[in-house]
Amino acid sequence: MAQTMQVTHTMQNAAALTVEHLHLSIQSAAGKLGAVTDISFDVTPGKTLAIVGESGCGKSLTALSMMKLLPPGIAQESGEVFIAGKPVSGLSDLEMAALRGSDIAMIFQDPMTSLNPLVTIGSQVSEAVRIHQRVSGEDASARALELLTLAGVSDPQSRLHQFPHELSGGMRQRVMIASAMACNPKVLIADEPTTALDVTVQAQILALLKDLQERYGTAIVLITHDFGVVAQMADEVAVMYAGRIVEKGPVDQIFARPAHPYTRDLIACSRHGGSKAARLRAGLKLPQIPGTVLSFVDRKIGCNFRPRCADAIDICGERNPVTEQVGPAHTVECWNCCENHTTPSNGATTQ
Amino acid sequence: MTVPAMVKPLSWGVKLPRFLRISPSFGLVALAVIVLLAVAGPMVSGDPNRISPAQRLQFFSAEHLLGTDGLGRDLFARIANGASVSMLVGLYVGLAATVIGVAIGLVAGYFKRVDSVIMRVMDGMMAIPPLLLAVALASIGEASFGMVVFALTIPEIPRIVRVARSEVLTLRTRLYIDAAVVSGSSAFKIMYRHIVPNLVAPLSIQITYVCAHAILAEAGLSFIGAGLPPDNPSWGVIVSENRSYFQSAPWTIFVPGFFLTITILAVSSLGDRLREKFGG
Repeated sequence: MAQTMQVTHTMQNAAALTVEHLHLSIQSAAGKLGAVTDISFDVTPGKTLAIVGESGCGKSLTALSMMKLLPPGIAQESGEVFIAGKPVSGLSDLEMAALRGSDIAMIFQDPMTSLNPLVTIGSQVSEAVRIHQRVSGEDASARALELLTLAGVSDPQSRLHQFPHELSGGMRQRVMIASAMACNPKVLIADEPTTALDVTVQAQILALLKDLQERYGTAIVLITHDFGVVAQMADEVAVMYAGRIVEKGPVDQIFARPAHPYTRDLIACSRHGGSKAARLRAGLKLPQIPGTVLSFVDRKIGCNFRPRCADAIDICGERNPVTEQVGPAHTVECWNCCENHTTPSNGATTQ
Repeated sequence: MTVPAMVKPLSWGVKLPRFLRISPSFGLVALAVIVLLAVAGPMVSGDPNRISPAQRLQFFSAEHLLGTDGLGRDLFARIANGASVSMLVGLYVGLAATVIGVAIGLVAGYFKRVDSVIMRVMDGMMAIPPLLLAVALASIGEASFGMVVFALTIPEIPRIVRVARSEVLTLRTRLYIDAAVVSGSSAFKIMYRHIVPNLVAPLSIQITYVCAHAILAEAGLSFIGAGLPPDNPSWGVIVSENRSYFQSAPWTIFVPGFFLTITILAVSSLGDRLREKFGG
């Protein structure tokens, strides 16, 4: 079912990153399975889009496809990714390598292993500079010092000559951010940047990202499952479930009027009613969403969230939900949400 | 398969008497002595090929520290010459096998497409018996140092390739390799900058064994006459020449044999020390 979608790329309104109708498939024994289905969004410079969802929702695959680093066995069926208006799919490996680090950069979840233990901090950061810029070694280390200072690394001058094991996790994540920002990328993908860090350090790292974003006008794609992080960082939120964006909208709307039951459940899971100890004393359990994400094989017709949804009705199992507008720039894919909202459904766009 | 509740560290169980235990520094000291002999020996001793029939098969003396062989040649001079041959063979084979092996191992480990093809070729190369290859080569061309090194290097390459490849496969999954990819580094740059430095520890252990292996194999080749020409005496040549005097002058065989044993032991124990240090 190699469907080819003709993508007409109209002039993007200066979005730093645009994803249009992205379809990703996984090659398995049972044939091609849709891993990510019809994803579209764009991020303007200086803004943050948070992609939220559980493990297995396709968040990371979406991020990797923007980098053109999909693992073997996973293919981009159709759709297009534009970085600063340039389509990515036609680029050769060499052209793409030139783009990585300069136009689009990425930071990972685990700063403990993202640095080479055998290379000093200074030379790893200046290396990030020298890959894309023809500068002398001295200029590169001067720039590295500047970047480390910007990233809030304490005592940057002496850090230059230290090895990764001499730094704490938070400091290492600052170093990773420094090297990611080495060439002032237009787009920064942050794949759960604070998950592996102490709660006390998380807020600092997020504040640093925010600060650098304001300074350089970077567009950030933040991948997370924590609505606390979303609240602090995001301008726009895209909630993913089983390879689809089920709800998308401005952050205040998502928090004020979450339309999709999955979004509501996710927010409930992260909105901590007091401390854990207080909750335990009151005999309250941590909120959870029962069940797990449907595996690729089990995804059939109808809404994929239906088995776990408290509000499911008959039509949820019969037809795929359609995208409905529930507010300005706020869309949702759910059959059962619009009674709660005033906006009428435009039922004409069935699939 | 059952897993024992408590896995004991592998040990021989028996403690050797003190005088039989090899002290950790033995390898280094012995190797230093052999290297000194190889470098300085030929300078202080005379021509290893000078014949003096009047002084044949003499025991150790002040004039001939290690006695003389059947043609009256000074054994110390010949042993010293043999030491430099052994050291050079070990060094060159170790170096050549490492350079070629690491290059092939990097490609095999990093580029999945060519991996299985390369590894099957390596399996084939491993099946070549080094002695037979050397004998075959000796029958084609003239015996020379380069040919011996070549013949001994070929079967050692796959050992290095296997170790290098498996290390590369592990290293590739490290996040800092991913980080280098997303910052736009080329495959070549990632290899020499992030992968090769990490290969030093595991490979240095393997290289010592390759060296020890090569030194022993060269002695064997020379003994059967497929190795170096006799005018460049190696330890294997010396043992071979003096076979017929074994009963009347046993030291002519024991002396080169002793040096060969000590050298192999020294290089191997160096490898063991590295293994302990790096936890290979």
